[in-house]
Amino acid sequence: MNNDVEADDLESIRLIFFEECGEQLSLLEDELSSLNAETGPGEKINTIFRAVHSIKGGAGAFGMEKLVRFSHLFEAVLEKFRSGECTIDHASVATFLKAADVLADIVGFYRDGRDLTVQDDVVEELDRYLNAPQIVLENTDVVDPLPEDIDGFSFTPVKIDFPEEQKLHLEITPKIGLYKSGDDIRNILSFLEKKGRIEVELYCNNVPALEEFNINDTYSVWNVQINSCEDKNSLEEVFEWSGSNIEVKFIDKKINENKLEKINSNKKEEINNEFLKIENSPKNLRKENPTIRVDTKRVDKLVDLLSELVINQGAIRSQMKANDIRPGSALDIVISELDQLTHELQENVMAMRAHPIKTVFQRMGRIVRETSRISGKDVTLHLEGEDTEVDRSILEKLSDPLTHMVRNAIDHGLESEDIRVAAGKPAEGKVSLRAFHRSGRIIIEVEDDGSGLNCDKIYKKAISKGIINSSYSMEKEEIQNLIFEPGFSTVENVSDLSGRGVGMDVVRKSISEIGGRISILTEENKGTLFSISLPLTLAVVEGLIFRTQEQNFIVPVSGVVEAFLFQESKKIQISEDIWGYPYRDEYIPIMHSKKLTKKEKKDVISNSCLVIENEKKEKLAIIVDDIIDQSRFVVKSIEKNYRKIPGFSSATILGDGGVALIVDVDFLIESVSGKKFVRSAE
Amino acid sequence: MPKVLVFTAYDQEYAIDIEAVREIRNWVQATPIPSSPSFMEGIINIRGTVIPLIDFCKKIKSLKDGIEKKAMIIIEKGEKTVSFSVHNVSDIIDYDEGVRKNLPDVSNSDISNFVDGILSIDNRVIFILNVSGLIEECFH
Repeated sequence: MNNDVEADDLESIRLIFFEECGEQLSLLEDELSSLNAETGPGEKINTIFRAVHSIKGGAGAFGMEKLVRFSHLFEAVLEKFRSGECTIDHASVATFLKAADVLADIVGFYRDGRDLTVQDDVVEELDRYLNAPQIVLENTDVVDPLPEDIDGFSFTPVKIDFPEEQKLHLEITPKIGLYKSGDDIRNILSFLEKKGRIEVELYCNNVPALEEFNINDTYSVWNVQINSCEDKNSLEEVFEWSGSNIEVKFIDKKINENKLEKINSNKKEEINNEFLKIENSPKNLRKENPTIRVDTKRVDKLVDLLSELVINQGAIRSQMKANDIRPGSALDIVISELDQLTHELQENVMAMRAHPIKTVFQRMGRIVRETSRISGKDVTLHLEGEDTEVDRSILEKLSDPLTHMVRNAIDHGLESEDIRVAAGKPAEGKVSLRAFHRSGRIIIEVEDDGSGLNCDKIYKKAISKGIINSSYSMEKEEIQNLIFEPGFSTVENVSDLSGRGVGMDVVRKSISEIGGRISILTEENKGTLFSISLPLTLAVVEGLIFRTQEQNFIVPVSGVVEAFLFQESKKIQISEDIWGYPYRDEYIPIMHSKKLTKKEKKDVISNSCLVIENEKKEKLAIIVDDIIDQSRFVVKSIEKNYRKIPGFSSATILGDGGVALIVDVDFLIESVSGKKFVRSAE
Repeated sequence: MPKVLVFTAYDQEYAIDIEAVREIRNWVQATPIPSSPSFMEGIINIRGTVIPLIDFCKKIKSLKDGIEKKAMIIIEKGEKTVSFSVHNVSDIIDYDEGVRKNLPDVSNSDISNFVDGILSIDNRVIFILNVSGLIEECFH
């Protein structure tokens, strides 16, 4: 018995060690990828050295001989660089990266019992540095190693190789004409948002007292700070449309800063921004935040409890309704406050579960290196928005689809070097990964600058695979989406890399499992962009609750475009069981929500209609008996204890303790509009 | 001695291994699921978890009108939690392995997939259910 306890203790220490290894490895990767020839040694190499050293130390304690041996070798080589005996160049950084990969492999071998293929070439490469002839020594005088560190800072300019984002400050003053023409400052801001990340501040000190208010004057001034890769001219285009109805000033940063942050003018920061790009400072600042290590299970439990709280609140609400307590009453006000607090609490707990997407992006660095080595294509990976935070449960499931997409981008997307050069592109291919927030969702983009999707090829292949019937003529976009069809990726194009039996259909499936949607944007010879849109969290969904045949259903607000009154007379029959309905200036398919119920009961006159839309902007109208409310619903898995139900993504628990199904918008639209994707012969 | 929970459906008694039973509750109306078999009542909420509810009576005899359902037995098997609605729960009994008889050879009937044997104690005839077999049978 005692032995058991000891074994458990040892096991838990082992787990902590592996966790730390993971952290050290990601630190290693991080530092290595920003290390380059121009920097010289300095603090970075020390950090790298320390990371390898602590892995070695732990490995020794657990008797992981392979790990000790390799980290020792790596460490010895790093020591040469640290002492200035060797100098850092591209080749050595590449070797280090490979060595870090091997290190991760060995850790994986001990942790999960993964297969270990010994990378002799990497060992050899490292050995070469170790036995390097002493001629290199001469360099020592030239490359003067920087003083070890000054409070953890090393003031070394770092070259950043993606297009520089610039910070621009704008002062936008709308004139009355803007409003008279029916325009809205929001439109302008949303255009700006497309150009880069924006922060908006409304300066409203000019607004006079009501009696002095002149309806023909405007008083508000919008201060916009934009981080954009685009220059001033391209930003000015945004305002061209509004002409003289809007006054825009580009403000010199310094003046602006004085104005806005009089109190907070931080000297050090000014130095950073104005003179040097010091890569170190923000990082070091962040590290100063004290953290505690908490078992993720505890946080998950907290999230569960909060979900219960949200359900409980629904229960209070429905009790209030049942007892005829009116909105605006004292009780209602108190409950609303409680709602607000719960909401805030929930957001904070969710933030605890959030992790920067960096951890996944970093892994892609390795995938790119491997893929580029095997395919023989030179590729640079370019990351943006690594600090975007994503719920841990989503993050875990992102790695596989992203890996596959990155491999695909290099293997299928990018052309070989000679074709690229012939097409006037740089020989080196580029794959970009981006993450950012947009209207309450997280967007992740995978882009390559390769040949783009070839619609002809895809179309022909889809026909030959029997995915579509040759008699269909299809829109370009529909053809592109064929790559997501099961059975599209097949043995034929098995290369060493992609095509390991996982096709894009699996990618789409795993994305949709985490509530995400994927879309393609491609341009021949320019490249392909896959855009994944994910919910902020899997735990709660903002939804509309509607009723049909005495059963409640939830539809996520993100998928709803509009609700309107339905008029039977406007309905037109398109084919046997497909009906259409005029919407704006087109006809969209329409279905009755009673199809969502198990058996149809008596006919109720339904006069409400919801329009839902998927990522591809395909729409579908659903006739419902009644639209009840909009609220936040806790997502509960059905598959956990049962199985996936077609047409529904999950379920939720309502205030009365009953269960309601959450509609899968994508599935419904596809089941109506996507009929032609159904295999023709089977 | 094995302990089993005994319940009735269509005047027939059935027994289920007590280890698999998590709790017994009063019957509640489930949320129906479209295009599911008729014996699937739907899904219900048990303390914040969504689980399927299977009409046991309909599962064994798919008569048009089910009999009155008074109780739900919530069962935990492996990773999954499921529930069965039954007519009534009668008692918990211990039995001797010796009193257990094998089912007559009815292998072409699907009942053999989820009934392990027959207990005859006093004047009672009780079918012993195989929990995993029953769940398997209902979900596939």
